[in-house]
Amino acid sequence: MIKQDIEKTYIIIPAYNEASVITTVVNTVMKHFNNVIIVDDASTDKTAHLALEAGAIVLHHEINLGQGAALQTGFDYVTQKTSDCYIVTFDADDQHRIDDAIELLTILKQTNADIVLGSRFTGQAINIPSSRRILLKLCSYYTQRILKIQLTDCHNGLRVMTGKTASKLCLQQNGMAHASEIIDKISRLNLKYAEAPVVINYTEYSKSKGQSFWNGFFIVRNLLLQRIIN
Amino acid sequence: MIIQLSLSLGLLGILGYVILQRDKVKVIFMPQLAVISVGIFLIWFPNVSTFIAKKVGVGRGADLITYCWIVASILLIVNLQIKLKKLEAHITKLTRAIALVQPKNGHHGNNFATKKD
Repeated sequence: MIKQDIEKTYIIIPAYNEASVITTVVNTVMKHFNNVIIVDDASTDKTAHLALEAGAIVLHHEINLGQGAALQTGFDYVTQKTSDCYIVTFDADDQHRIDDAIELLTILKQTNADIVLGSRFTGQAINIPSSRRILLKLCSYYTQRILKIQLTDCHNGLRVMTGKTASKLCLQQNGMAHASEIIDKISRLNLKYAEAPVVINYTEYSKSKGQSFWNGFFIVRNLLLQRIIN
Repeated sequence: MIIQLSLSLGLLGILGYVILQRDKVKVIFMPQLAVISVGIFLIWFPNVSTFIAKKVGVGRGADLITYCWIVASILLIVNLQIKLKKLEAHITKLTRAIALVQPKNGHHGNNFATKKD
């Protein structure tokens, strides 16, 4: 990657109680990128302090809102300053690889896409629980058949987008439904998208932080309520 | 008779509260007044509800009232959910505004090196 691309790439990492891994994550990302933004979603441990020590910019939510809200805060922080940039969304639980983020960024530039999403199903999903696999496959089925968006992995936290795209998303879903909302916005805004293989490593730690199978019903409920409100 | 009196007194109590609050919730004051009035009427003239029930294909007046109550409750719950969602949106906006006003910078090697006031 050329220096100018690195300078204008911002890594947004929403975090909630990730004190045990956040230093590793920030250090790993900062080997390749300077602009690392941790959105601390009212953690009760030392996540914010450790992220700051590791050299990240930290935005702090006084109340725990959810990953979607944290991402939107990160988007707002960056796009208030500039939209001529690239934004990477990256998980704080050490599931993602920074090499995959670099690859997604390269694809974004080569294809001139608005957004590139990672897929663990065209890449690798190491130790993925079977219930998670089923839930994600159901979500992909809905995305492909109903939204007509051809994605194999609709809830992957690793994405790369242009700053202009981030400024258009305006996420309203605070919780995990934001991932479905992003795909809905890709469809509604007719964004140019691409998908690329990534590796997701399910450690015991990351599995304990992940969604439960039944959370899928709450995601659907939240999306329906948002449609009624809108 | 005792049940009719108790229910009527209960509804009259609610009516009094609704009248006291009418300036705060003007939009729903008249619908609330209508529902309570109909309720009191049907308590004292139950045959009317049975008559209406038969006309609409429901067996008993009590069943009709129960079905109406279920529908009204579902609408109320959905309405409350929507209000809660809107409240959540306001809280999110406030929380985000506070976060954006006070970013903390771990080092000065990035493009957004801003110092905390």
